[in-house]
Amino acid sequence: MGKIKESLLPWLGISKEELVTYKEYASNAYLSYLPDFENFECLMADLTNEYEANRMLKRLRSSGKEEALPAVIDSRKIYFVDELLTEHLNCIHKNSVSTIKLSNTTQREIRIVGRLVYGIMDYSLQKDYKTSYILSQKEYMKRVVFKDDSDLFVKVVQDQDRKAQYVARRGLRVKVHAGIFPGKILVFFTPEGSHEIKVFDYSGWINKPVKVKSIKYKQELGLSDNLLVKSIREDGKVVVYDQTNNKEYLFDSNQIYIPASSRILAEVGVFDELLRFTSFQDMGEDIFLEKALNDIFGKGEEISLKYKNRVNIKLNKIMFKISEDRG
Amino acid sequence: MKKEKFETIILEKPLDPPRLVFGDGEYHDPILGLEYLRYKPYKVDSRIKERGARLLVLVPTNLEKDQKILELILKDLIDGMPMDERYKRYYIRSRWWGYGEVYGINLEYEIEKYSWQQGDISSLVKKIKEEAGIRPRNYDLILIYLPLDVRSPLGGPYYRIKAQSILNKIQTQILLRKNLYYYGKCREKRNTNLNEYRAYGDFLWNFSLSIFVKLGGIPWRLKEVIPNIAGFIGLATIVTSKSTGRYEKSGIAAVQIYNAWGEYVTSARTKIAIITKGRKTWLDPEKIKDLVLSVAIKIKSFPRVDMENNYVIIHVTDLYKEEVKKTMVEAVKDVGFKKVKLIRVQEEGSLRLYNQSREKSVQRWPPLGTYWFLEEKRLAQLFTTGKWQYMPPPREPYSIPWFTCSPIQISLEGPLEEELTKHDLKCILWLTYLHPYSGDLPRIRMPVNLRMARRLAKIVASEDLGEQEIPDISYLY
Repeated sequence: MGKIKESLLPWLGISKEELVTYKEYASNAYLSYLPDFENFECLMADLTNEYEANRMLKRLRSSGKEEALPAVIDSRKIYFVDELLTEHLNCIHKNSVSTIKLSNTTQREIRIVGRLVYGIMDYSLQKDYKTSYILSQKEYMKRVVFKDDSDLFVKVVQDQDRKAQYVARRGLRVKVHAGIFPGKILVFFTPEGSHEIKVFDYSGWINKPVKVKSIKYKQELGLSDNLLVKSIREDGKVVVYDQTNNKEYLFDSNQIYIPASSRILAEVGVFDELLRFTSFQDMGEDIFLEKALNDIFGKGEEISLKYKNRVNIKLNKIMFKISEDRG
Repeated sequence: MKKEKFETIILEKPLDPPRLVFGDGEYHDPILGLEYLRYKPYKVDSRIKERGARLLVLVPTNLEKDQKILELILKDLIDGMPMDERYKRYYIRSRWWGYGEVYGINLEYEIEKYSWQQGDISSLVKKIKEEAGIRPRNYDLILIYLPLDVRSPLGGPYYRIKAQSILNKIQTQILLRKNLYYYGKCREKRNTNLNEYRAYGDFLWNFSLSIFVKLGGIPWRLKEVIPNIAGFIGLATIVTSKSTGRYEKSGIAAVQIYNAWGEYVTSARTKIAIITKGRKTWLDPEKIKDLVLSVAIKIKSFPRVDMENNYVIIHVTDLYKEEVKKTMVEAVKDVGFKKVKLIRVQEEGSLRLYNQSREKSVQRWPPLGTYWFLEEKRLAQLFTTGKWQYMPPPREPYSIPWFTCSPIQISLEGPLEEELTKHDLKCILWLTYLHPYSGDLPRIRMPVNLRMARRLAKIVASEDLGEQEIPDISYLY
């Protein structure tokens, strides 16, 4: 059909907007419809010692206590969804535990709601959907979910000579926006990849850059970023040379890692192969996104993120309509 | 498929990209303008046009094979890409017509050898200094072939050579081994494989553009000035590996300013202490204030600047503490500007959109210029890459095969009384069109001021340039 002259539109009884044609786009964004995050129910208790509570919460999480996942400490109070948590934390005023309602319309409560949702997701994605997280050394809070037994998500290249494995992983980065829509949360699942070098014997990595796993330990020792593997002792410990400070340090092999930088991966000849995988060159990012969402959540437009029988966050996929006529 | 299970959001029409002006015409796409419509570039340095340009090509000793590949590429660069008649006739965008034909400049080169040992750039620095000491100069540009597979990290040869180029006011173009080998192979197969032909043609276009702008040329510019803008400041901060305290490291802050035409004006930088604890970066507010103040004064001196109504826009990528953000805004206001916005631009937004009804992946991404205000007046996602009219109609718009079209994320960081508007997004989109080194602009995500400020910060962080002023050569980096 040809174009209608704009001046004729009033005669035809149609507005300019009605003539716009839209194309539909699927997205990686999900909007919650349950529960109502303007009245989000959770437990709250006063803390006797906030520092101690933080420390204990971290310890409980690393020891696998599920009830410690959806828990947030803020201004000498703890917000959580599972009363079991009170049994593990001795810095809670026991008689202060109460049920409260949070609203994602105030700045302070948005933060708490968002962090509780992350905790619920941590539980649900690992327990219900059997996924793991790609843990980033640099970004502690970053969550990229993937399935470690699936070729869609993981590619491994073996290196017998250097006694190492080069691992490319790709998954979906989870980002929660808790304060944009009153009563709702918005979640993005964005494709992302990362590389890792797993070294079984550092003797093949002499004079190569190395990093210390614990940032805290690194800061305590005052190490620079210019560290090299110098030699391996008979007891298996690794001598690391700090080029900037001209000092040597001794580490267990599990305290250090070889950074999977593009330069090192190129030197060992696997960079292009791994990059092809993690930049989705084998299928396209959009196809990977569709496959990964189907693989993790099953086919459908709805996602359910549950914490035991206490919370069930239900989200719908957002479809976008875009007019492709330019102005 | 149960439709009712979806939430549906209707987006406004995508933003219009800018019209670009060439020497003898205008168009929306730089390569179509120069290659298909055969427009001349917007401005050629008259001296260079008259006498031609001379390149000194530096190649490491004992790399005869690499030198041969480089010579073949340089021959094509000057004479045009030899191509099969089929390709010549149909495959527009990737056809390369030769340097003189496209830019009207006669290009000549001479090859010299230099001794290369891994990581040691002393012989290259010597050559750069030698050339800098000669008046008039023997060469207009030094092309350096570096036998490295990746652009080196901070403090590595690539950025150190660039720093030395700045110090000595010498224009340099660096070609890495990885690119030489890759495009050398593409060259061999260009007449039997369409992808290789395209890759090689695109490379020659980008390579030629880099050389052209470093020879003082301006390939295209905006057709119209961006309204209500006094100037754009791009600010980038880089942390060097030097620790100066438990959470403190030394760093570099670099700024680049562009005017309302999106033209580069000048740059500046300072050494700073950077404290990173958690996600936010803390910088010494006094130093940042001095830096922003110094460039705001330069914006004040632009002709016809309306300090009451025109905005100074500061673009940043990092998340700074409130105190630092306030300092930047105050510095601009102290100069006398009434309106200022601090806008954070992050390279990777979270949103992905794809049209499931299209089978071909190049048709699935949204059009370039698509945007969504996640948070009204504060936070938006903008597709500075996307489906694009790469070919003249009737061909449909498409995106580059295997290229992910993801949006950038834009947030207003201050001051509180301001709002993030559609116009702010348009400014950012238009600034992505003014990156002078690439013809493939629809593939460039970030605005030119931030991209170049970041590059400058990396260069300055790689070699101690002292406190001396950076020679102001627009397209040196």
